[in-house]
Amino acid sequence: MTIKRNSIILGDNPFFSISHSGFNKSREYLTDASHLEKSINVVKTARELNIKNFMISSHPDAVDFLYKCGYDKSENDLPNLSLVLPDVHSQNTKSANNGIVSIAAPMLISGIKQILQNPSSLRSGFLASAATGVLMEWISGFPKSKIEYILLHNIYVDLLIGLGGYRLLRIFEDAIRNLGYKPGFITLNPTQFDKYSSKNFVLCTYYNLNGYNIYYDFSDLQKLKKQKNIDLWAMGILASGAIEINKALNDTNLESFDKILYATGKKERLIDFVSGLK
Amino acid sequence: MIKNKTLIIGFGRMGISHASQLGLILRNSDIYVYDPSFKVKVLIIVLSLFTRIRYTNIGTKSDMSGFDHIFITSPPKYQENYFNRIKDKNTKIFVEKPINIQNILNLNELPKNIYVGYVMQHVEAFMLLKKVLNGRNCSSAYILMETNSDLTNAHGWRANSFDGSIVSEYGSHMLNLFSFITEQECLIKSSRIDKKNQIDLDLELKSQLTTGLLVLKYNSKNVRKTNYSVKIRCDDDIFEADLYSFKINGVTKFELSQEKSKTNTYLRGAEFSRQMENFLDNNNFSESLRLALSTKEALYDYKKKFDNTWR
Repeated sequence: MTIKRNSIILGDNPFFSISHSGFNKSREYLTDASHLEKSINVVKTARELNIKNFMISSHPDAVDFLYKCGYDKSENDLPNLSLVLPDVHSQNTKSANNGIVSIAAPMLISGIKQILQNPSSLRSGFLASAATGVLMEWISGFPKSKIEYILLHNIYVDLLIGLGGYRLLRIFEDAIRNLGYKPGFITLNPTQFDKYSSKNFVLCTYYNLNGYNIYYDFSDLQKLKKQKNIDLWAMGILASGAIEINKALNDTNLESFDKILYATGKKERLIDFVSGLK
Repeated sequence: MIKNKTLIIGFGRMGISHASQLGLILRNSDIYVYDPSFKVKVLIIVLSLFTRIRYTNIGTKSDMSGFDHIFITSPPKYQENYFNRIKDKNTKIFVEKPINIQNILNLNELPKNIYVGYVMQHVEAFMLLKKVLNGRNCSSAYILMETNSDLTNAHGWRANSFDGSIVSEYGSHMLNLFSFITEQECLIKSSRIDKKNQIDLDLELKSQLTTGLLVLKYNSKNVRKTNYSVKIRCDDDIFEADLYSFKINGVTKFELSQEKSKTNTYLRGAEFSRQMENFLDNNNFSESLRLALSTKEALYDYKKKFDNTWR
């Protein structure tokens, strides 16, 4: 089985402690000198290995981190970014301290701001305009020309799927497209997207030979890919290190996936992973 | 198909998470949500335009009958008020920990319909440990919770409240888990908080075990994700379990990353899905309530004994 290098996306989970910490904890984690050095080495190695895709969280320190990795300030020098929104670190801290409304209210305010600044955007409807405003605020500070994909974080996606909030997902998807980016969703419940009205989007989900963190039937996922013409991205293919790199990369089921996300905190592991590609 | 009616009281992080979990598992349930805050009410009404949840005003109703399931996820001091208004004995009630309904229960005859959300009981490795320990004589235990979180600057109901303290919030998970695994109730015999960001609690067990140590490490830089682990010596064997693995005498018997997921949906963790499935599928939760009350008793006994030292 052949996996091309350009289908590999370097994940940033080990750099920012994604999803497991509040904002300040994540910042401490990132600024810890030894940890930061290791993370920088991974990104530098990825660059040397010609890996040009990078999934990055919308943490306020994310862009600075990239520049610390040796990229110059010209946007051309940066890798292609798959930006994960929103910044769950800040939102987690906010909701713990001030309740859930403290997350929702700023979204509404950004939406209203967008409409006031650009009243013609209202033609596409209040919510579409509001979603565009929210997205613009979330991506401000990121090098726009290098953002290729915008993906909604799985905490939001899976919460909304459970609540039956497919219409809200659709509003965000359309807003992402309107801004000129390719939309995607990170989810651990991918086959629930059979109830979703759109097509031609990215679904990023767990896949590995062990079945670890997989909460769907693989044949259902293949059917969904065909029906909705979606791009599938696999994450966790090594099942947190439980599967040998070569064994994982020789799995023919990976042919169903268009991109593979790989995240590590050690540059040696990245070198091993890339040398396993044919 | 008969539709279920569910009420969720409190739309904070736990309320939202239960609503979504329920929606993933129970496709035929009408999910009603109540929150006393005006701002949250507005949020629920806006969300109801795009999702399955509906706002319902129970604020003035004395009787909350007609629901198949009720989730009480509001802060502890409000639980009694809501609980007293549930008159229908057939309604299954899920109360989030820390519970505060002990004063209105008949402790000699615990109701069967009250489930308490101690999610660690549904972690696969801990379930295996409980199964293996069944009937064995154990002599010592070391229980650890290590987290990068820190509740010393807690906001909301946790601020300046024993229920929201490190000993209560973190310790209750581990005390409850320990009682669940060993089927033994325990009290806290002594407490040391001299180490930086660490509280050591000596456990006094009511039966078999001779020693037990519960260590709570908070604000730890060593962990990204909270580590919950239990190590128990029984006869000449040592049993260890955490969120990911189960070992006997150092030999791994179960490793999560080697296993196919056993639930069909995911939100926050497989243990949350299993907890919800357990609540929906069963009708007798007296053991869950008994363990939660015993955990509560151990914590309040601690508070009484070490009143000046709790944080």
